[in-house]
Order: sequence, then structure tokens, then C-alpha cells
Amino acid sequence: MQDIQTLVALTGWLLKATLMMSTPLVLAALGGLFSEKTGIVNIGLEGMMLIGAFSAVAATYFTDNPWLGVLAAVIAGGMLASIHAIVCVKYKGNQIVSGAGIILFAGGFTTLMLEVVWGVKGVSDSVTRLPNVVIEPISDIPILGVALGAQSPLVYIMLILVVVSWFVIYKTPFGLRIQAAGEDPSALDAAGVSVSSVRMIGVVLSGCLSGLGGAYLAISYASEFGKMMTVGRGFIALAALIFGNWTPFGCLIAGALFGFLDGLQFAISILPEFSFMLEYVNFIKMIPYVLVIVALAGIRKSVPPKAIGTPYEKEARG
Amino acid sequence: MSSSNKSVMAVALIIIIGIAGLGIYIIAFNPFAPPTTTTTTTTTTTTTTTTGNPNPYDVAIVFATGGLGDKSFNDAAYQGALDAEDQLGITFTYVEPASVTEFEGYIRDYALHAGYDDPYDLIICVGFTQADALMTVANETPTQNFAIIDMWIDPVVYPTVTSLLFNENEGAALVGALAGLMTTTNKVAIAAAYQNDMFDRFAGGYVFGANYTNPGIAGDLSHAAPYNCTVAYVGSDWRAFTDIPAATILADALYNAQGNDIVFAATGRAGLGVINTAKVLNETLDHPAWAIGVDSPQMYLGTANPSAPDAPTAVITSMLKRVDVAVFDAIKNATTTGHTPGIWSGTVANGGLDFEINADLRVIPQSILDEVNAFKALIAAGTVVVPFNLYWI
Repeated sequence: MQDIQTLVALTGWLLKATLMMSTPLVLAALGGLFSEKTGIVNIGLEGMMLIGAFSAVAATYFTDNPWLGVLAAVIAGGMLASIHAIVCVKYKGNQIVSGAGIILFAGGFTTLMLEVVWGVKGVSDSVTRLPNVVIEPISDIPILGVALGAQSPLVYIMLILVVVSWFVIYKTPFGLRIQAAGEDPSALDAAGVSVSSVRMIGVVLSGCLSGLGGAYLAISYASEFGKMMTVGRGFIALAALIFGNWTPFGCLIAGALFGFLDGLQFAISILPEFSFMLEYVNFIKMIPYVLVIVALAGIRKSVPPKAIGTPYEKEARG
Repeated sequence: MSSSNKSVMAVALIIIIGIAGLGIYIIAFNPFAPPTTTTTTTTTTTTTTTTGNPNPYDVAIVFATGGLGDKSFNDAAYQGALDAEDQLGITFTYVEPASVTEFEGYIRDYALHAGYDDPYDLIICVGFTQADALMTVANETPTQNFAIIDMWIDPVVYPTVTSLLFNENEGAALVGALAGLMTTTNKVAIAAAYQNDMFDRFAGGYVFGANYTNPGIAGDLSHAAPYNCTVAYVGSDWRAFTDIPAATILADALYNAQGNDIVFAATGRAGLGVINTAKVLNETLDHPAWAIGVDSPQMYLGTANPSAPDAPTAVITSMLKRVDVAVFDAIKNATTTGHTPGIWSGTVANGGLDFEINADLRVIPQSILDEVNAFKALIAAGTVVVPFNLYWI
């Protein structure tokens, strides 16, 4: 048994790691939520995160202000999403194909720009990170202090955005329209609201939030952009969205669970007491996906928006 | 078409034109070009399908997924090819696949010398992740010569393939020995990419070296892992090489929560996450946070501004895997004396493995260097045999 001090430190660290690993997942999952609530499938979250990560680093590199980097990431994610919105809403294109295109485009574009801006093909130069927010009163409490005392501002913003998203979707007229666009667009149309514009806004919002998640990856817990640095987190965010049953707090809980399992596999390789579990690390990494399948298969009925994936035809009568 | 549709279309067009225009402007004029970069001229390949077209290249290289600019493995291989270009007058071309699924296609393209009449003298595959693809193509093109870095391929079954291997355990033992002498907390760690035979060699050698010079690190070996030398993994598959965020968070745990002061970043490009964490934590922790680089000289990455490196650096040394020596030797054999299938082993004895000393960035006390060099001499002479696996398990 290692000394208690190390154990306490590691517990605190595990909580901190859970928050850190889950923040990009939750942000992207919230993004997916806004898109899918309006009825547009968005598998392009990965691409939007990637372009957000790149834009954040590039903007910080030229302005030396990481907050401008965050802003650039949100705008770039939104712009990329607007392409998805135009293809899917305006031209009623296949939403999966468009999403896949977004991912491929983002991968290629960021790799190209990496070479244009820094003249390298692998990793950009290091830039200024977002400074951590230190909350003095709680930073001395043993475990909680480590976990919450000094985190990236984006972690707190993520927690706030979860609440804000819940409020917007369930408590405002605009949220009602978002839900209607995904559940029964013809009713929304009959009420005189443009389904297209509601869906457009939803998809663009999803890009902004995913871009924010990418910015977190790039300038908050790393400080440079690496080619393909999102390594599939956009897809895990999609899984979190489904596991979270298309609700903001569901996304938070699912994201936190996935983040915790990510952190746990590091803890396993660090604590000698856990090292007998080393060979099961891959198994632990698999758990989130198994959980998603189990959840989908029957423990609980997963309820996607009814009209998801189907372009809205004004003339269609149901 | 209603007016709202038209305006949506107009907005769409404006956005697309805007993005395209911006892209063309940036590519054409490159206003962001970093002011201090030395311009590197890269030879671009244009594949034509006309016949009667002699192959302008002697050697073709398929890089690992990290791509050029990883400041590590691929860059070292590239350096070896550049050395061969300088000293042997050969020409080479290369490709940087983005994922492991692309390897086979690229290797086959080179093996079939698409667009050219005559074959390449040698095709070099960088990294063990290309092994399956290489074996497939080698079966299809029995006369094409190949070399693969970091993987053993049976020369009896594949008589055209040279395996360029390194006894990483010996190199890791060198930096482990240095870590054992430099540590102030008597706790050191290695952040390996994931568990496989190769990273077992890294981890085994590192722990052995640290224990050799600092028995305090060995602690109670009845533990599944050595008490004060942690072996941690960034991920569980090849994606760990690019997962900078995961390496960052792991490094945070190793320095911050567990109290190690030296972490060996044996995880390819993602090692930058470890190095940058060390840089940041050096200012806040009450013990040093130092990193050890891997594959190529990485001490400069630990300085405040790596593009103009200046002491001090958070990277105290790097384990040098002289991929450039291996690539140079393979090219030299293939283009002059003839391709030699089988195994080329990089060892401490033949200069294929070493550790970085850069007194401009960090002065290591001479007594420590002497001790490590004595250890190195013993390894080179074969007196000390470094274990190649997790020997304590």
C-alpha cells in the first residue's frame, strides 16, 4: 500500500482527470444535441472539433491571446457546420454523407494549413494556453480542491453551458421550436415558423459548441495543434449523446462516465495496487461502447427525435 | 423559388466563395509564414501514367502515421535519407499516410513503380505498424527489395525484406541510468505509448537502468511493478502516438499526483504533451519536473522557446534511436553493395543507440555523466546484459 497521501492525491487527480477528459466530450455532445434535436444528424462533430482545435491554435499563435483563439474556434466550427446545414437543410442532401464529408474535409484542411502556417506536417509550435482559473476558497480542501480548485475556464463554461442548454431547450419558445423541428416539423410549419431556419440555427450551434470542445483540446490541456489530435473524440461524443438520451444532463453524465473511465485507465497504470488490472485496460476502454449498446438494446428505451434524419418537405403530408 | 430560399442560397454562396477565396489567398501568398523558418525544399512527386518514363528515384519511403514534423521518428528517417542523398548521391521520394489503412496502397504503388518503367532499388517502411501491409505486398512482388524499421519480418519467408531493429532496452537503460542519478524525489516514471513487445523493451530497460544507478528506486520488487519506477501507458493502440491530450493528462498525474520528477516520454509525437506539462509544472511544483525525450534529440523542445532554444530546458536528455543510421546503412547497402535481407540491429555498441548530451541547454554534472558512460561501456562490451521485458513480473 502506498502512503495515504498519494492515494488522496490520486483520488483528487482522478476527479480532475474525469472533468478534464469529459469536457471536450460533453461540449461536442451538447453540440450534437442541438443539431439532432432539430432533426439533423450530425456525425461531423469530429471534423468540427478538429477545425476548432486548429483555429484556436492558429488564432492564439498570431494574436497571443488564447481567448481570441477560443472565439476563432467557435466561429470556425460554426462556419464548417453551416456547410453541413446548407447541404442537409437547403439541399436536403444525405446527412450521413455530408457529415462524413465534413470529417474528411476537416482532416485534410487542417493538415494542409499546418504546413501553410508553420511549415511542418506533424505538430504546430506551442502557443499560450488559456490560464487556469484558481478558486482560492476551495483549492485547499484535500480532494475537491485538486479536482475543482484550478481548472481551465472552459471546464466551468462547459458546466454552465449544460445548464444553459437545458434551459434554452426546455424553457424557452426557441427551445420549443427546436424540439418541434425534430419531432414534428409539419406542426412547426403550420405554426408559421420556418423549419429550415430553425434547423440551420441548430446545426450552426452544434458546430460552435464542437469548435469550443476542440479549442479546449488544443489550447487548454495541450498547447499546440497536432495532426488528427481529436483521435475519435467526436465519435465518442456522439455515443455520449445517444447514451445520454438526447438530453443536456444526460450528455453531462454520459460524458463524465466516459471521461472517468479514461482517467481510470491512467490510474490503473500508475497505482501498483491496480497493476494486476493492466491487461484489462483494453477491456476498460471498451466499457463505454458496450454500455451504449446495452443501453440501446433494451435496458432503457432510447428516444431520438422522431423526424431525425429526414429532410423536411413542405409539401409532404403525414 | 421563394425569396427566403434565394437568400439562403445567396448566404451559402457567399460563405463558400469566402472560404475558397481565403484558402486560395493563403495558399498563394502565405501571409502567415513564420518569419524565422529556414525554407526546406521538398521534392514533390508527380505521378504520370505515360510509358517510356525512367524512374527518377532510387529509394521510396513510406512514413509512419505521425508524418514528417513529428520531431522524432519520421524526421530521423528523413534525415537518414537526406544524408544518403548528400553522401551517396541517391534520390528518394516519400509519402506520408494519414492512417494505417493507407499503408498497403502506398507500398503497392511503389512496388509496382506506378508511372515509371523501372523499379525502386529499395522501399523503406517506417514503423512496425506497416508490417502486415508490407508482407502482403512483398508476396505479390517477389523481386522488390524492402526495408522496415522497428519490426522483425522473417527473412526465410520474405527473402527481400531487411528488418532494421533496435535493442531499445539498451538505449532506455542509458537514460534510465541518468534518471536514477538525477532524481531528487527517488521516483521516476516512463510514459509508454501502449503495451507491446517494443514498449516492454523500453520499460524493462528504463527500470533496469534506473535501478542500476539508484537502488533506492527498486524498492520492494515483490510489487507487481517496481515501487518507485512507474510504467504508465498513454493509450492502447497506435492512436496513442498522436494523442497529445492523453499524454498531457497522464504526465500531470505522474508529476503532480504521484510525485515523480522525471518522466521518460516514450510515446512518439504525443511525447510533446509530457514535455509541455513538465515545462508548465516546473514553475509550480516543489520538486523539479523533468522529461526525457525519445528517438531524436529533443532537449530543445523543453526550452521556453523551442525555435530559439536557450537554457534551461525541462528535457534533461533524450534516448537517441539512430533511425538515420539505420536508414542510411540500408540505402547504402541497397544502392551500392547490394541489398542484404535479414536483420540489422542498432545497439549501443554499433552506435545505433545513444543518449543526448547538450551542455548548451543543460549542464549535467560530470560525475553523473562519467557514471552513465561507464554503464554504457559495460553494455557495449556485453558485460551488463539489459533485460528486454518487464522482468519484475
